[in-house]
Amino acid sequence: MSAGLLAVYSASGAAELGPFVHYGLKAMLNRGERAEAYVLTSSGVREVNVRLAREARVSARGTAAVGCVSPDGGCCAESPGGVRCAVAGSGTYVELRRDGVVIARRGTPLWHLALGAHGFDFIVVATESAAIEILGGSLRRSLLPGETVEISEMYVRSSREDTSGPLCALELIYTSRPDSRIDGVEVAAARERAARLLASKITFDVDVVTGIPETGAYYAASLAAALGKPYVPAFVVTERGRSALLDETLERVAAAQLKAGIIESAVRDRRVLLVDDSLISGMTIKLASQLLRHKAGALEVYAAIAAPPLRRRCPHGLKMPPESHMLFNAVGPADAMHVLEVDGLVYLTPGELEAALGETGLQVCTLCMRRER
Amino acid sequence: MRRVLVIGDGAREHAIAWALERSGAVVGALASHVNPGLEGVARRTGGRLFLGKVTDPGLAVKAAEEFSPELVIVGPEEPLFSGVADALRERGFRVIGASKRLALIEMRKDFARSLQWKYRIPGRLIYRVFKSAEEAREYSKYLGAVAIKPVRQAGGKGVRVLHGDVRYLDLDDAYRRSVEDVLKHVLQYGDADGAVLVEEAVWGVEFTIQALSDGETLFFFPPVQDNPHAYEFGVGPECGGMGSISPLPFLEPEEVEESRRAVEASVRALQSETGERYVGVVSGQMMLTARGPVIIEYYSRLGDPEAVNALYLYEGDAYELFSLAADGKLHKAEQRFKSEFTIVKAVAPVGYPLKRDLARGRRVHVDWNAVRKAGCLVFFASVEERGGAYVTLGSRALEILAAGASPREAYERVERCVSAVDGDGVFYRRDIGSPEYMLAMAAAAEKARRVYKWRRARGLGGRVLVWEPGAGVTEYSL
Repeated sequence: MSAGLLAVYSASGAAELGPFVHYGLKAMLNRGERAEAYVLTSSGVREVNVRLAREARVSARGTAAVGCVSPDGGCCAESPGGVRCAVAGSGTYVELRRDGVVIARRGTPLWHLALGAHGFDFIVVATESAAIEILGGSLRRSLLPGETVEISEMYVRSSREDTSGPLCALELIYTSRPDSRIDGVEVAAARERAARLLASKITFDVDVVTGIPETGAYYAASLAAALGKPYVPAFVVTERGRSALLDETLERVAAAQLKAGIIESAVRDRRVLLVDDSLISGMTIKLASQLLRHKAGALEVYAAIAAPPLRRRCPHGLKMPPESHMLFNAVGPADAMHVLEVDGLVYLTPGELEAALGETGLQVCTLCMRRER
Repeated sequence: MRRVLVIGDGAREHAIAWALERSGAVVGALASHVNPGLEGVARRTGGRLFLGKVTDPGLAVKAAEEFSPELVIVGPEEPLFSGVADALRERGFRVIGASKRLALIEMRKDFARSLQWKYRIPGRLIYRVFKSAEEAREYSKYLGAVAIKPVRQAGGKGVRVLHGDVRYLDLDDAYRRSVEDVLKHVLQYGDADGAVLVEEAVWGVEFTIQALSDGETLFFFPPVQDNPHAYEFGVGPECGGMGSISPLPFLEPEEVEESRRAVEASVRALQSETGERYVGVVSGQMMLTARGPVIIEYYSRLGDPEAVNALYLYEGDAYELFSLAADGKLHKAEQRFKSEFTIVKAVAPVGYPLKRDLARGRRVHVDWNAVRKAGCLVFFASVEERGGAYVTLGSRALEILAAGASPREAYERVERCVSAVDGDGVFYRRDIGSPEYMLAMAAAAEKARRVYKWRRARGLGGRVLVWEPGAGVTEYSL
């Protein structure tokens, strides 16, 4: 999962940026829970001790701040000019320079950065455009691939190296907030396209549709509407958090601790379609399927996955579990449903996913969903 | 003979003088610096440039008495606020410019809002006025998304928009700072109580409706869109305006018409309230929202740079037009506008608008051959000519107008002309008027349009209750 980057620039001199940093990063918790941030004060660049789990916020008074969230931390590092927070190995970063200038660069089409304004006072750059809106700002546009935006007290400048290529499919299908916009496309709208195509592939007879919280919920609701079956939010989450793209150990822990309660009356004596956005080891699906049958009395459980199962590590350097921990590298499609303990399994192929997302005008990279060569 | 004195020294006043020169007038100007544009028009037409403080009524009268104009046109708002138009009228001059009392519609936002509610002018926003930050904060909690403004016009400064998320965000510090900034700003002028106005914040597409008024009839110019953010992509500090486009293909004719009716109703209300005839320019700073067009604020003058688009597009005789307004005969004015699309871009010194000291003393060069070849017009603002170059005085340096048969043609032309301007540290906004900009505006307008049309067709949303726990419920009928 790619890091969530944030930069805030105060156009009218030093201001309390603490709330911006805190809520801007918190709005990107979907990209990891380890937050780090730096602020430029009159005495130089200072690290901000961000603790997103707490309501108590730290003060970060200064003219500009940068930060990021990631699953494992370490997305910000010292740079020759100051401090740089980056999507590892991608050339996509936000940098806070000691001379007061903030640089935002989208080095590749794969990963996104959005630029926005909070009134006349603040300029905000964030991986998730929704973070800009949450901060009370409004989105201006996505940075173009290869574009560098330089923000200073006296100008905002843009320059661009021409580069082209696809956007990371996982950004649209999985990583981003559904209320964010990437290159002019609302993420939820892209997911809707995938859900519709997925619905056309479903041949099982089901009574209700539910989704893995929270990643599968939007797809589940769309599928339910397309199938004409009721959507039931059958799981009640205790703790939010993403499991799929963490490393192997963390993943298992997270899967084992889905920490979801289940609403029995919603699924008991029914045939249930269980929906999620992606499949790596499949442990989350397996656990949810078990809960549905054993604890809540569902008669049959079918699984529908929006994205093709992951097959190989990201050739662009996105952090992923080893290939040996990807279910579809271990068993064939026919056996996968037995591992997942579901009565049927459906998912989009890489080609179908590209076509569905392509309807929005965006071209996506699906290399991690294809076997090598 | 057609003799006109223009008061003011920006690109707007240069544009007024340019239009008058085309109608064969002798043009004089009262300016606080030697604007090369005004100076050129005065020289060519046999007029004269008077130097002095443009807000001083005594000085304006003195210049007018020396120049003996048939008509005086007051460009900026501050001279109107300080009674320049009144002083000139008292001495018997024919003046285009609102009186001090009428100009309150721009100067005092609380006055403008109360007028809108008293006379039930369409496109009004829910608001209240407060003396302290604490009271304002309390009220804004229950209003939702709010804009905080100084009650007194302060050159666009001091306006803060805080969206509804502010409670969730709890930007208390930012909020308090905003209100205190605003209060401080208002007090500087010494002509208004320290007070702030809190009103509903709305979303949508902004545009300006500019009109000449003779006290009976309004003469409307095509709608214009201004861009108040200083920096590229519409971010950064508020400034006088970095560029404007006109007309606006993303507005429907009915929306423009509805906005004009709202401005017209405002002028009628203002005249009833004050018992005075409005002879001058009045503009509505509008926004097309999910409620339809609403009035964000008023100008008692042409906008800058919006004036440049409007005066270029007017195809009739400008002297005749202003003169008819002064005589109460605007109904006879020629309604002829060029069917072209115009883009105006301001070029400003680096440092503008926040570090005026750094913005001063920068040299600007214009490659006149390139400008002429591309077919643009250059209007001077805050620069003086020294030794063959233009030297900046701290504000916007110049404004460049390009016209074309289509937005794209005008955009390509204006970009060519802006690149003919260089110097040691100037900037402009490339994004204004670009194809992407036009598409984004059209999309934003369409989003608002679908909502307001739908809701109007069903009679939804006319009644709003503002509930303040402990204080009760206030009903508003929009």
